[in-house]
Amino acid sequence: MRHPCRASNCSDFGRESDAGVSLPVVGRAIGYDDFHPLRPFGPPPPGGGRKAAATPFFPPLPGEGASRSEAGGVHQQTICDSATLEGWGYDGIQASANRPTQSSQAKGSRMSFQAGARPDQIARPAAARGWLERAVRFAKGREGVLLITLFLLVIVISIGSHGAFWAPVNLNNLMVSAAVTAIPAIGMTLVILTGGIDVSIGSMLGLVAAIGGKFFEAGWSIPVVAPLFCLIGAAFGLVNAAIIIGGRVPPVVATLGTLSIFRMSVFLVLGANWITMIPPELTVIFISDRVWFLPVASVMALVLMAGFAFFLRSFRLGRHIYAIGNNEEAARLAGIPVGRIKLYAYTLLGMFTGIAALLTLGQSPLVQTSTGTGFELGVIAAVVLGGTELSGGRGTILGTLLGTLIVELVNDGVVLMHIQPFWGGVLLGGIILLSIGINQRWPGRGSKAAE
Amino acid sequence: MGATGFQPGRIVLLVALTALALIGFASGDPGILSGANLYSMAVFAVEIGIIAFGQTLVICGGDGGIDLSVGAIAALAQVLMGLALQAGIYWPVAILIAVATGTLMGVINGILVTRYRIEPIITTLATMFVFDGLGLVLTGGINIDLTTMPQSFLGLGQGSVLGLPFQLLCVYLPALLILIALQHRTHFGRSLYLVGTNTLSARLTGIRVDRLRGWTYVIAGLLSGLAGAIGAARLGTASPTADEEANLISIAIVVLGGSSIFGGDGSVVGTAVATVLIGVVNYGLSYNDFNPIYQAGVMGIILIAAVLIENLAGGRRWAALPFFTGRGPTAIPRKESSG
Repeated sequence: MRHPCRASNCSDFGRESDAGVSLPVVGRAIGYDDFHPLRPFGPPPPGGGRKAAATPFFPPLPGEGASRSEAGGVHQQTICDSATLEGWGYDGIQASANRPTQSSQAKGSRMSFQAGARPDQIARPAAARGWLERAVRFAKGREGVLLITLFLLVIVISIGSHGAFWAPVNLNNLMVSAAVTAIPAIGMTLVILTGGIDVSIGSMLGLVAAIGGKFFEAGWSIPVVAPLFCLIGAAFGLVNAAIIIGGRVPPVVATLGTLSIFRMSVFLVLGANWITMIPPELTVIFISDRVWFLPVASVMALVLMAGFAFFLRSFRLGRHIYAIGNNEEAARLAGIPVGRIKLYAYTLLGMFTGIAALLTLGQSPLVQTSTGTGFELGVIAAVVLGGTELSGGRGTILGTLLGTLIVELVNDGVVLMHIQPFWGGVLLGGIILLSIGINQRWPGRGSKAAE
Repeated sequence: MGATGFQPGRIVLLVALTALALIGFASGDPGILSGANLYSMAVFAVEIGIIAFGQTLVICGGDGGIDLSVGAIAALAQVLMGLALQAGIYWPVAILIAVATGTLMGVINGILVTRYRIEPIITTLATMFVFDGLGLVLTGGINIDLTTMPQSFLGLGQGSVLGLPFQLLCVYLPALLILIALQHRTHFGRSLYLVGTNTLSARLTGIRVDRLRGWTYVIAGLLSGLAGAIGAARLGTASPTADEEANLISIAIVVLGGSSIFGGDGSVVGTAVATVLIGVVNYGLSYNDFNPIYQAGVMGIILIAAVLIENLAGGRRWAALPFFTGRGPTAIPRKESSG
């Protein structure tokens, strides 16, 4: 049953903060945004709010009372007001009580509510910003940094490969393999946004390809088998979801288990054989056919990404996903069907993995027992690189797209520049760690560490 | 013993399950109960058992603590040891190199998790790649042959003392005793339970939470390095792809041994007994010609089943029987603790 207040109905619900505004509250607030139709001039200065709360026996100063009551309204779950604690003389306890919530994020942000937000951090509505200011903000943000990295990578690989990078064949391969990673990466973004993770999709891809390959072997046609790929994938995603949500098994443990179970099932399905009877039309449809200059697979990926970016921004269900990742308990109390939405996310990831399996068969018409091994790592790397935080609630599809391109560029570059393939894993692992480390030290806009 | 996290009921249950597994395999082929087979079981179980000890401490530290890189650390450690041995370095020094490598990798994990605040899952997933990749780069993907090394070195994995495997009597059991003392009789171990149960109250008590958690990764790295050295000595090869499934199996062992995956519960004693069970199951499967992929699959089933039974049955029907679960229903958190 929905909670009567329908707080989640608000378009502002669970939205990521647009700027690194320090809130004058301890604990995590959900649904806080610096722009709101009812609050057109941004949040109140932290100092003002603090004064009002610190002296509860006096009436609030004009203007402050209104902004405070608004900030502490239905949408905000405030555990404890730091200023109130200060007013009560609990300085020491407040400092230490504050630590666990804050210190798991960036260092130094702990004291930010006392120092107050810097003037440049107090955001104005987007319409009031100049284009230059907005461009600088974008460049300093996560997506901007990724875009710059992408350009640098392209330059390095172009020089390192003596121009082989720009060969049409290579660009084509790059676009297709990026699509294969990008489609499950959408699902993975949703799963990670809810605070979960799925490390089993590599084996899942292998298993879907094996079962689907059996259908192809039996002579079924592509229009029949292609939807089956989606359905089988969704079914396996549902298995994961059932274990994680129904059985309350932590996502890492559950999917680490299904990773090996799915791989075992690939052996059970295939025996010691390969499946080679994949219809060549699959390659034609998804890889060789083009829309303008893009392979169909890439167009599918782009359309899905655009659709889900819009879904996450503008649909109630999309906002709920952010809300769950930000504070699951609060989301539950607000009447959001947490379990059901998580189930959607895992199932969708399974379905997209099924699509990726189909595209993989288009890339190379062969199923063997090792198909898909290590695939999950590229996808997780792409999502994490794209700025989606593993604790949930922060991240964008645009970031995931850029992350995917970077991962695929690195993979491509390793081949083109004749680097020993063993370095691929080292580079990928290093890039993941570096990018998260950088994000923790210099948080971009909209990231939790910035709060 | 009555110590925190020590669950006598769980150990009885595990022993019963082990007996059941042995009886099951023996009913298929009684040959598995021969002395030589039991000896081999012990030899195989020692390495993963040592790795599982470190995993126990990491998981006990809570806050999503998990180490997926243990297998990669073991592989990298044995590769470096193999290279050192090939370079003609005296073998005890080479073993020290393996252990030091493991420790260093643990330090890297610990720093990334506690100083840079990267989630343990993603840290150790990424370092798993890096360490595995470094092992491959160092060897060029080729196993290093160590069979020509002195017998005293190979004895680390192949020797026997008093009719028991050398590594069981002289490495595993001492390590078990030291870790029992560390977990149940020192400030470090007891604080770790509080850290895993309730980070906030641990901090307010004055425990240096980060330092404690960091050390668990270092210990896990050290033990993985040691296990890598033993594995290389047993097989006479140092392989960059050794112990690939070690992360999965060690987590399965730890969860089966009664540790809560959310931290703050469980004991190395439970882990040791669970190691015996997993060792029997693994050996029984390979004895019956199941390939390693099937073994890993069975481990996955055991892992999920263990947590599922814990969650579904532990809190409700079995609540009246603490004998089986070792703790009441309140000990099962509703959700992962959000940092």
